[in-house]
Amino acid sequence: MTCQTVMLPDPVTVLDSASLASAIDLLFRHRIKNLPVVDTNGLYKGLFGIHTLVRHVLPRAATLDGDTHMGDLAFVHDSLENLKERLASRLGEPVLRFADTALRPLAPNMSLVETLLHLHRSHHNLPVADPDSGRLLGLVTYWGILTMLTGRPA
Amino acid sequence: MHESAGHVLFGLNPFWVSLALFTVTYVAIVTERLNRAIIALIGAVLMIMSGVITQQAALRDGVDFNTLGLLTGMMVIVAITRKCGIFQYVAVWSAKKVNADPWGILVMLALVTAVFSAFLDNVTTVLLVAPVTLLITEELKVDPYPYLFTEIFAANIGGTATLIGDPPNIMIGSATGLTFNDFVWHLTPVVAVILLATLVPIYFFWGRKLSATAEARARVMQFNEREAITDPRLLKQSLAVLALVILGFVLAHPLHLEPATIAMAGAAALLLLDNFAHNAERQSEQVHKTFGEVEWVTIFFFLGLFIVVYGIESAGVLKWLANRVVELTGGNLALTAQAILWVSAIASAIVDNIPFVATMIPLIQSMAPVYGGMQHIEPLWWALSLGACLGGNGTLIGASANLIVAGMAERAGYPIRFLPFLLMAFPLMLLSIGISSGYLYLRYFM
Repeated sequence: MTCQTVMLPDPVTVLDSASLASAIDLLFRHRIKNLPVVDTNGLYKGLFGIHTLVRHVLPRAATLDGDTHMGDLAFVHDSLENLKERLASRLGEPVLRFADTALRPLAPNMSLVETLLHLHRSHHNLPVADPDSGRLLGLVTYWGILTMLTGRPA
Repeated sequence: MHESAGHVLFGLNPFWVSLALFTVTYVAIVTERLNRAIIALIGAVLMIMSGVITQQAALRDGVDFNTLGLLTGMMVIVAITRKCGIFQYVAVWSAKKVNADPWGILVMLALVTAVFSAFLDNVTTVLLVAPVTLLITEELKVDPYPYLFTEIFAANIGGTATLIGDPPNIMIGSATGLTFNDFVWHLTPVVAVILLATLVPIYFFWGRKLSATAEARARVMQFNEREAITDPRLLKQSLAVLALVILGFVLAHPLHLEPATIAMAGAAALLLLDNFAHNAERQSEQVHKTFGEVEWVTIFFFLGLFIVVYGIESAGVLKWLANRVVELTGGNLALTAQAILWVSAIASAIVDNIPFVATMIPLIQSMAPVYGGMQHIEPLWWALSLGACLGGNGTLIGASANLIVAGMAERAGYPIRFLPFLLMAFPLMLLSIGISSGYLYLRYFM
């Protein structure tokens, strides 16, 4: 059994040039946590989701990569209005800016155990793409795996 | 040739072999194609394997364990202290003290950076202050560039003020026996003047145009600095140990203690306080994490570099070079001091000041007999310190702190580019060296 056999084929995707607002609409409409970002040729570009969106609502200094010695943000008292304002100011930007582009997609022939290990480590659904062309093939989802393991209907 | 030299490979002249190894090492460091610690270690090993020096002499006379101990001890102290949030507390407190006025915050953060930098290493200082700066400027909706630029300058200027503020000073102090108090007495006054003088052009260039809305300022004023303190117990312990360490540096001479012993004592005490309440497993985990935060790349870079420089010193290269410098300056001490100041500044703006200072120290020591002994060349050490530390401000690659801030700014979406930085920084660096030049002349040669 391989990654391809447990993935969800033809998942909901968003074009890399689409706005952040339209990507958020897709999350709401399909009640999903994340969705792959693709270009017009269907090539995988990144993974957008609530986890990457939240990062951009926080002050930038708090989410810088690498060791910044920032500590926590207990002393910052931004209100919900402040956070909404920060999000609203960026709704027109392309969704790709808010996607995790460093996340490497899984290969379709990856073993089942290796697939589950990646899922366990990443804490979110994982894209599957053709390693040669980079074309998105599907999405390994937590619900899909749970359904497969328990034998219960989705 | 030095007595510690061994038998050089193929009977080659140690003078030329050591000079070739030193030059290749130096060029490799400057080109930055390989990690500098790897280069320095390879240079050191080749210096020994070629027979220029023996391993025994390299470790006994070449490696300055006082410098390594001081650096490591202070790194451990900072790694533990920063966990309690004191540095964020001070940065936020200082911003609120000026009612979140954009120019006031720039000045306060510059002062905070300079003071931290005088007691911590510059890279650690900017790693602590720059993220809070980005946070505050984002809330204020002002461009963070002037703030980050000023903090780079403040870090390098503040680090010049004390024995422990910047690696060149640590090396100079260790090699010459100059104490913490000597550095404070001779360098801190001029450093204060330089910092204030640097802020004047920054005000006219950026400061007077900085403004923020009342709403944005109110957001910063809502920050509660007390909530930045994550561990009040550790805060008290860290401050007590830091105070004792600084007192130790001040009293080092009458106590007959070397700076490395004091820093290591502080590190050991803080490790003890931070761990004794935990079980063995947690202790092991915490100590491992703390030691992991020691910048081993820097430590091994120093280790290798000391041996490489000892190689050319043993082979007589530095003595030969010192004689040429003395000839050029006509044996005039004031002129030599000025030459060291300006050459160090320009060199440090272009290349890493650590290898430069490591080379200059034995070179200056070799000049001592010409000027009547070590006690007469003290101004040369201050010239070297001022030039090497302040010169780092000249370019974006002049000091590690500059690159750290630039990297952080880039990741936050506010890139600091080489040329725009150079156009503003180099004249400001020259201003600081000009002030240093006047200071050296007025204080030591009038």
